[in-house]
Amino acid sequence: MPFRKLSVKVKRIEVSRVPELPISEEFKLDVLKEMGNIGAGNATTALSTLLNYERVNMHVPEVALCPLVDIPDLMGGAEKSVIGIYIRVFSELSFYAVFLIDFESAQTLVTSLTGEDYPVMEEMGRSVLLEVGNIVTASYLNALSHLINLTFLPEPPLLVVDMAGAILGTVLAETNAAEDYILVLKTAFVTATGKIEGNFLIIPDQHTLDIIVRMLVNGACQ
Amino acid sequence: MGRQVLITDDTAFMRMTLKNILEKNGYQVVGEAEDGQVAVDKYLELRPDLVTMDITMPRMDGITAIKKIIEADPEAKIVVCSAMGQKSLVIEALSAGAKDFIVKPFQAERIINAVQKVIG
Repeated sequence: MPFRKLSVKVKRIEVSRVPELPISEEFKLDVLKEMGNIGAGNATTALSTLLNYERVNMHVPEVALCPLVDIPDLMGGAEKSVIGIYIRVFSELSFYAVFLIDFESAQTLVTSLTGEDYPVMEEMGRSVLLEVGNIVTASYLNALSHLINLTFLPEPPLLVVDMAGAILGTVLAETNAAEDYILVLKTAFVTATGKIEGNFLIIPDQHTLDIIVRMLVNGACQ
Repeated sequence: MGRQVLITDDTAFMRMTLKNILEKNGYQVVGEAEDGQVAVDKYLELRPDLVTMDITMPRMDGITAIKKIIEADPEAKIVVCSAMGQKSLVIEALSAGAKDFIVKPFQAERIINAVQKVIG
């Protein structure tokens, strides 16, 4: 379903005025990884706060650059059905954020957050997963926004159930992905009701990655 | 009868969470809205003492809804409750007439403190 764009008018840096710099592909990949480090703490802290952090053991988030072809293996293989909550972020900079979680972890998440065994695929269960995807993504964006002084406007999240490979295929068909690599933030929590493991993927398009590289380099040189 | 609140959020889970927090603290939730347009319509119909407002929602976003509600009733009391804590959005919401801006995820006390401050 197409969503109406947020009509918020915000003051932004004119990204077209950020100077061009000769930057290697290897350096761009480093920056992509740094995009993960910046937001990983925020995103996982948000999830642990949601889960009432006194009762949760949070593992340190692992940030990695994964080749596209390896992503389905992270979720137990290309043919395994998983739940994907994906959010398109638009502004001058655009990318997708995708939260992939298996059914077992999703059920633990729903039960932990509501105190009830709502089935994950019924209205309340889906609603919990959408809100978690929304909060994790927004927390990541809040950190990135603070660092580079840009405003990111996400669309409302969408929930899909499909094979991990198919979910990624859908996202990649809609975006001009920057590289053959995707940024993966692996999160893991142990709650009173079980273990929750999820993979949070950041997929910037080529233009977005170029701009962020230039802004980070310029900021670092000032 | 407690002070009346209209809850706006596109997810049923968050509406349920906010409703539980408010009702446990003596407030009466008179309506729920799943997007900005429904919030505007329900505000005009119910005239609650306070509205909680999400930002990122389908059909009509929260900033637009705040502007429309304030335009219809400049005395309306609106508290934003959104995961989008980016500075420019907070400023935009407060400039549009919101009384406070709570960033999700939140603790129950943060909600109650904000609501008490605005409507007692």
